[in-house]
Amino acid sequence: MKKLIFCILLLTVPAATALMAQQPAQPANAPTQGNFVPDDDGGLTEIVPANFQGTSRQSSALPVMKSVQQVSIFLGAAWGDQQVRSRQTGLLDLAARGNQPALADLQSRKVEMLPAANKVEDLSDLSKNTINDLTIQRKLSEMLESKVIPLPAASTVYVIFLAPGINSTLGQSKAVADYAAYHNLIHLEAGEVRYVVVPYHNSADTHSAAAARALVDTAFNPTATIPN
Amino acid sequence: MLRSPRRILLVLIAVLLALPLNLAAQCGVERESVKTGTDPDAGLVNLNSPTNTTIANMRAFAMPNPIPPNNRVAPAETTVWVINATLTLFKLESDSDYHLVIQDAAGNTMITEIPAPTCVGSTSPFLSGITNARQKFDAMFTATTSFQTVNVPVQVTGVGMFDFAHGQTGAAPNQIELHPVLDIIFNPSTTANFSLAASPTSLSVTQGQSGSTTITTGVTGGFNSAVSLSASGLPAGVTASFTPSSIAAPGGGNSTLKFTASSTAATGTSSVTVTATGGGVTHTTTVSLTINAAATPNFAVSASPTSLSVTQGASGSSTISTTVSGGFNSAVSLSASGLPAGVTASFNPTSIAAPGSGSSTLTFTASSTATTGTSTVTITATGGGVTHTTTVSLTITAAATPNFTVSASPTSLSVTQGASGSSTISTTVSGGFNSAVALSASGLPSGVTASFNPTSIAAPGSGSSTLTFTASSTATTGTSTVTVTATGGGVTHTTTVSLTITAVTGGGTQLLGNPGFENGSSSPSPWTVATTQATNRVINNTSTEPPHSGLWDAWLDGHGSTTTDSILQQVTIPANTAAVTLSFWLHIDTAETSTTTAFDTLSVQVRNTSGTVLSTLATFSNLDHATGFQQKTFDLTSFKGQTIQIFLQGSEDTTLQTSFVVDDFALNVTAGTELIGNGGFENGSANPAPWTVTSTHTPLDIINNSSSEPPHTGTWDAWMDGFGATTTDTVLQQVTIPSTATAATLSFWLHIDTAETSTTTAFDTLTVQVRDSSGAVLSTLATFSNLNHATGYQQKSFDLTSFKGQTVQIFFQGKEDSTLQTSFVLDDVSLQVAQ
Repeated sequence: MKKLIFCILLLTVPAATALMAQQPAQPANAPTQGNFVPDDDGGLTEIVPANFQGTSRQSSALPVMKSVQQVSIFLGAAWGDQQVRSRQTGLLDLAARGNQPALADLQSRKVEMLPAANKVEDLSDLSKNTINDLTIQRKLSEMLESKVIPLPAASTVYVIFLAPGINSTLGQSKAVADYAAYHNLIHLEAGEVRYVVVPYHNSADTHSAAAARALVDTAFNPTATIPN
Repeated sequence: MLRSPRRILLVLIAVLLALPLNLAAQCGVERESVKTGTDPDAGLVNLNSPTNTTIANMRAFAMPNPIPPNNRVAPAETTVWVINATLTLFKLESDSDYHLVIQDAAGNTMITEIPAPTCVGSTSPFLSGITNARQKFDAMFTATTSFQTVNVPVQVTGVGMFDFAHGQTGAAPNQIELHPVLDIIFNPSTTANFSLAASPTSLSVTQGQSGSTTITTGVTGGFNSAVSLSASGLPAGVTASFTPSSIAAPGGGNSTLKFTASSTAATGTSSVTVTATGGGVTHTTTVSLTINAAATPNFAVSASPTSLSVTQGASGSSTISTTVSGGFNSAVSLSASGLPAGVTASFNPTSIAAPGSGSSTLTFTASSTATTGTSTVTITATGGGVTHTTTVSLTITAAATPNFTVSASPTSLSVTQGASGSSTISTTVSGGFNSAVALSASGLPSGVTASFNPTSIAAPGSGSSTLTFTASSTATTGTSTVTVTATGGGVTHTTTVSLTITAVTGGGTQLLGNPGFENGSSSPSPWTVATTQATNRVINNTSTEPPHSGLWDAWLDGHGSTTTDSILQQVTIPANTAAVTLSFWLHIDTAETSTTTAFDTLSVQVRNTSGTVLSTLATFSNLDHATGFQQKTFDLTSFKGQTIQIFLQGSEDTTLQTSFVVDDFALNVTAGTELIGNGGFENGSANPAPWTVTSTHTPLDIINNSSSEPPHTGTWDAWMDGFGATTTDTVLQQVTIPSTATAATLSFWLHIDTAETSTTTAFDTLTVQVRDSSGAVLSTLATFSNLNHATGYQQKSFDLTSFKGQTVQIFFQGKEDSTLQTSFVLDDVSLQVAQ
């Protein structure tokens, strides 16, 4: 065993040393500005921080959506569990619950909350995978191509609720540790697809509050870009 | 602390294996096909002709809106670009791309990305280039998920791609990237070299004009030499010049390449190769040059109208217009060809003055003998060496021939023997006809004469004449076709009138006055005419509703609005008549379309002098409409001896007219032969013959002149019963009804009064019978009783025609019971026979 370890070290350490010699002397950290963090394809997007307090969003000059319609997508096998599924009721139509402080921001900016569309469940077993934003985008693309979800309208926001056990990442950021939810935008053949990703949270209140906050963030910043 | 060798081993294995496993799994989604060359437009990218450019040039491209998700925007995304710049940042993205930020000397940045070959489809034309670039980069650096800062000169070759803006580090303002990178050369400046680029890379030049593009060179690696420039691949008729003709040492700078196209330069698009040579190095780039044709001076000619018709001896015109283009500036002369014989053409003005836009009136003049038919006349316009033509379709029509037409209204009429009727003959001239038209009639039936008033239509020949047919009492009955011949100006035309001569209905005496309304509207008497319309136009002589004969008729309704029109005439029908016949001619036309509903009606009634309806003879309606007149006949024999009103009333509803036109009434009474002798018992009681009078009462007291039971007329009557005791009175007279009788009518006037009070029991009776000469009852005509008592007399009539050829007794028998008298008073007995 000692010989084996020695051999490996003999092979790897010089190689690593050579590589390090060609690397820049000062690695640059990913640029993060406020609640905007790097996503998975070179850009930034807006998160709901893990420690968010459910307070109102700071108003900005960004154009807002005139209306918002929630399309809920419950992703992951654990949503098939009856106890877990019972959580869905409180998430299906965040606007209809009316008890989310973040939603008051929408009313103040006269953003109309349309009745939520029918939910979609994808009970694929993803619990052993890490789900990053590219996976979410690919899943949305597949669902739109197969018409599992309705085509996006100007008011559509797809809200993807991840089942418990799914590890969500966004760039170098991690769910629960760094963010409670995030929203992003992708351009597909079907059009501009605005979406919210909400990792599972043990607290039902935090879970729905994070989703509501991300939904409101989408309404206020539909392109998920840093305000000027 | 890692104190165990086994732990060290595990950590090392994890370090070496974990990262590659993570990276291999993820590829991008957004515009991924364009980024990796699997989009449908990937074949548009010319991999064999990289174009040198700069970061500044790339950032100058306009950002497309929208960005197509799976297609390319030319030329930025269909060109392989080569950029010399400095690599400043790089990072391994989660989508496995190497995200490289390059920067020029001015600080302008843009993103270049090297996808992971595992994310590139095998059909991508970029796969080998991507693999090459990835390997070269990996040989130089190790990209991690964090940005690393470097400062390395690079020459990056890649395909342009516009990304969606989402906060990418190092992004150009227009989001242009080189994505994918197909080649990367680190530290290219170690070799003295220069770059070459053109901007714009494509331009269009019109024949006879010029255009330019800027050729830019940039030096690297200590390159220090003048760079000479040349162009090749020019289309015929195009020259190229560089200002300056070469870039002075050290070789970096700009030169304006000017293309000058002659007026005859070959049109189309060419790829012009620009070659730059200096310091032993040669580079080329291409410029796409399109030569467009210059506008040619020209004009167009048109005619309006493009077709016209001209009558022989007349003229017509069309406007010829010209419009110029392409700088045309010349007078345009006009001419016409293809004219039919006998037609001339003239232009006013004869030519369109320079610069050639304007109009001219083309007049065709046809002689009176010009060839008729349609010809295509070609208009030729010539000016400035250019000739154009247009055509006008010219139709020459024959001049009109003087002529006239003749017509009759009505075209058929009926005239009763001994009467007359008329039709209006009208003529209309055309083609300049100007002559009097003489009229004549032929084909008249025997006993009928025809006269025209006026006898001819005065020149120019338009007008009308009343043709009156007068039938003698012996005129031949039946229908004839009378030909009316009109002759004038050497032209003869004919029309026909269907003339029907009818026999006098029933003969005898006609009782109605003014039966054809020929007294006119001012004196309709003895008709009484009423209307609910504001204007009474019932008595009519207009051609709208022509009469059956004569000039006038009675036109009821026809207003298309709520109307009630009526005519009535009161007449007394003698009692001693054998037959009474009412006849008239009726025409009905209507705008109603229903075939089931009688919206408008004409009621024909007999009324008494108080206006009480005695009988409705007929009701006609819009459903009975028909062309021409129809004769209607009704038997009014039952009204003989009465004064009655002949009453016609037309009632029209709110809409859609129905006209009821009546004419030529006749109420003919036939005076028959009276078979009863002493019908009024005026011979007195002493000589009642030929009546036979018997009674069970003594003395015989039937023929009466007392005031107790006064007669109907005269002094005497026959008073049967009236004793209030059991009595049988009989009055009879024997007559022979001729076998040739056409009608035999028994009538008498009867008065009944009684002391009986019953309203249900006939205690006392009068029986009227026809018996044979032996007294055998042939028919009981009626039985009256105390129940029929009434003040005054009532006339009773019975048809005895069925007894013609027989000798019969007219038998009246009154029977009275033992009490309460009933008197049956008989007077004016008549038996009229018509033969």
